[in-house]
Amino acid sequence: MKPRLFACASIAACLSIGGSSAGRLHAGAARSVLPSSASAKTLLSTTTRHREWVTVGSGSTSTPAFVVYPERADRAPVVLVTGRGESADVQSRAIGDQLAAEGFISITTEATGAAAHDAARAYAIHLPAADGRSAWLDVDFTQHHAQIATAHSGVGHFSLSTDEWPRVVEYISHATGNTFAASAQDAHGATASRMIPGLADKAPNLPAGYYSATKTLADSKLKREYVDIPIGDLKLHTWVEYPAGTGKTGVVIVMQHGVGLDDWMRSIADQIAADGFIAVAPDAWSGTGPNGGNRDSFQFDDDAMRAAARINADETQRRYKAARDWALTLPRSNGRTGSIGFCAGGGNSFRFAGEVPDLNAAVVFYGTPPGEELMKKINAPVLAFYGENDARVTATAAPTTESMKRLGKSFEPHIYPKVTHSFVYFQDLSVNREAVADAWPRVVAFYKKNLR
Amino acid sequence: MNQLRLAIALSLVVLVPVAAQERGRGGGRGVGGGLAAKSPDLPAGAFTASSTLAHTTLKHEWVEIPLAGRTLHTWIEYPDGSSPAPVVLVLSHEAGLDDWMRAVADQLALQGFIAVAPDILSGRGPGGGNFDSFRFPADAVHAMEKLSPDQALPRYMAALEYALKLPRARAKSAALGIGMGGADSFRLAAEHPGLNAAVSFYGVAPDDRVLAKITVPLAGFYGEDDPRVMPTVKAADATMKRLGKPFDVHVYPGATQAFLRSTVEGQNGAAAAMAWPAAIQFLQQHLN
Repeated sequence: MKPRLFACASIAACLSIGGSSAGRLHAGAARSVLPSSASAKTLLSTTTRHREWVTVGSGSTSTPAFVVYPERADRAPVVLVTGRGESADVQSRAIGDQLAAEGFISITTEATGAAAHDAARAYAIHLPAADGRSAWLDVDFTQHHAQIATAHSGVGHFSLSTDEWPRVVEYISHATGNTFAASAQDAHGATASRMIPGLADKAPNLPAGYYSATKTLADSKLKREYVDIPIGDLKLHTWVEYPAGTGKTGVVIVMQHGVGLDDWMRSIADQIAADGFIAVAPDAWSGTGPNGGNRDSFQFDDDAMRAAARINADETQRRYKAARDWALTLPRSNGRTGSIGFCAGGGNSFRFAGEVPDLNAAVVFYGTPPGEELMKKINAPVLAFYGENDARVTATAAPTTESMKRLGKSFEPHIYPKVTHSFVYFQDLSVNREAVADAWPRVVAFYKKNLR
Repeated sequence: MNQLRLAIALSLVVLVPVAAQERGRGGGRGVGGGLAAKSPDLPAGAFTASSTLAHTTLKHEWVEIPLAGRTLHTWIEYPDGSSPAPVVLVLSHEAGLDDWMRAVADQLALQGFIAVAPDILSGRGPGGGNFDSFRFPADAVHAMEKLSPDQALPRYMAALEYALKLPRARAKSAALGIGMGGADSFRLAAEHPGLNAAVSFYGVAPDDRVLAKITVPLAGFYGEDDPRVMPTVKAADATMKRLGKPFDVHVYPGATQAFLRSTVEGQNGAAAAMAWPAAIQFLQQHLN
């Protein structure tokens, strides 16, 4: 039996190693397929090639771009991928991944305009792994048309179809002197990376995960500080982070997950500030540490979690209310406030909307709802996210939707298939990263609508 | 005793996840809950690793193993007592030899094995430093990304050969790797016929050429919801069956990549509660 038979044990394997019978490609079997709008997301979440988000250009041309590297030891030509049409962003990145399967370094940007495109191409061709040659693949997903521009071969036009895709690859390979296809290794499922791809990488427009949080915080250029907010005898130790500029904006109270105000929680505050809002993240366990210290006075995470058991739900709300009252006095506050919470904090954020009827927006990541008496008092719209594979919390989604509807409240739940609890924190589990990429832009749009 | 426990676990597949979940929630106490509770029979999770390590009463030490003009910084932990014991080489996940990986070594020692966990990033940190010289976890992950199997395997082999000469070491050894280390574990089994067994926790399975060289029994533990890894496991399972070689494949429904570390997500707690005792039993079977 030929090894190739084993390569297509599943659709995912076929997609990532190339399942098309591309006899027309002169340089051997194709190892890529044209991603469809349906397969693009799956492809991106299962690809094993190294990929990362980078920022290219500077100043007003600064823009995010997505780079995928081929699995080859020698240097590679670069393909700039741009696309137009519905879900062009995801499909363009998936095409970038498939070009990497053919030996190219691909760089994909959603930005339009020659300056952004030049910046992306310049970034890629100066990578150490690049060989200096490049091509530009511009795809119109609405017209099913692909246009390829290279320095020496002019402009090529192709229809965008599964059958034509090998010709697209062949054209770019020829124009850039790409010989990777000719030296194709035996195709097998084991082309899967032995490492979780992008584990420590962070996209500029998405929150950090478990492994990227600490570096994200350290690299942030935003203004931030710890403040001690007085509540009677207690000092509520609170991380505050400001968006760039000096203008007024809304405040978001960041409610900690079960691990407390760790680096990851503060990196969430950093992301919220980067997205344009004043992030106020109290250490809800302030004063529970040795000698009245805060969470950061514990040597171990689990000690902090055990000690925190004495801060009950009512006390937690009291602390977050004090943080909100304080934040409303900030010179840059525009008077509008929102909340966001994860895990235990998700439940706190939901309840906060009932405790503070003046709240303008509440975001709940995998948190449980308050009782109906509090729910009745909610005025803020509530945006909630759940992982399907989180039975304890997600079981509450349907009855919550029903209750909120009956009470005439605004409630927008999103449940992601195959996704787990804590999916923003542990982005490396299952297809959690995909859920984060869908959820976070919704959070930002929700705050832009309600807090400005 | 262990066989009995495994038999119970297998026969009560439906009940075990429920019990494990209840334990994972810490009896419904408020914040923190089960995140902060380590089961004595299972490795620590992400949030109990550092304290588990700090409180261990087992003998442990850092050693410097000579390796091609430099040294391999290696964590060794011994089982209680002074009698000879088999060696289990611990191969690191994507984050390198962090506290969690060393807590896995601690658990192996607790269960009767000399656990040898090399810092595979020895000398690859800033200024030629080790894992502990990286400023951020992300930097260590990026250094791990640059480490090819060809670079990793000689290091693991040097650690294994060193360990087999330890006064307490019996001439039996296995590799146990997690994540990226799981992938390396099976590769090591292909390159080092002296091993007696190899275990992979959710590592990508190697290709047919590597599998063809393997002569020792393999056991792999996987989460069903692991789209990168599962296709390779299915392919390797078919190949090993065709080649007539032993490969125990355990796939846990609703569990994910990294289920041993992130134990409260999905069915990960249940998977860990079933997989770890099965792994220990597999090691005992081939090393005792």
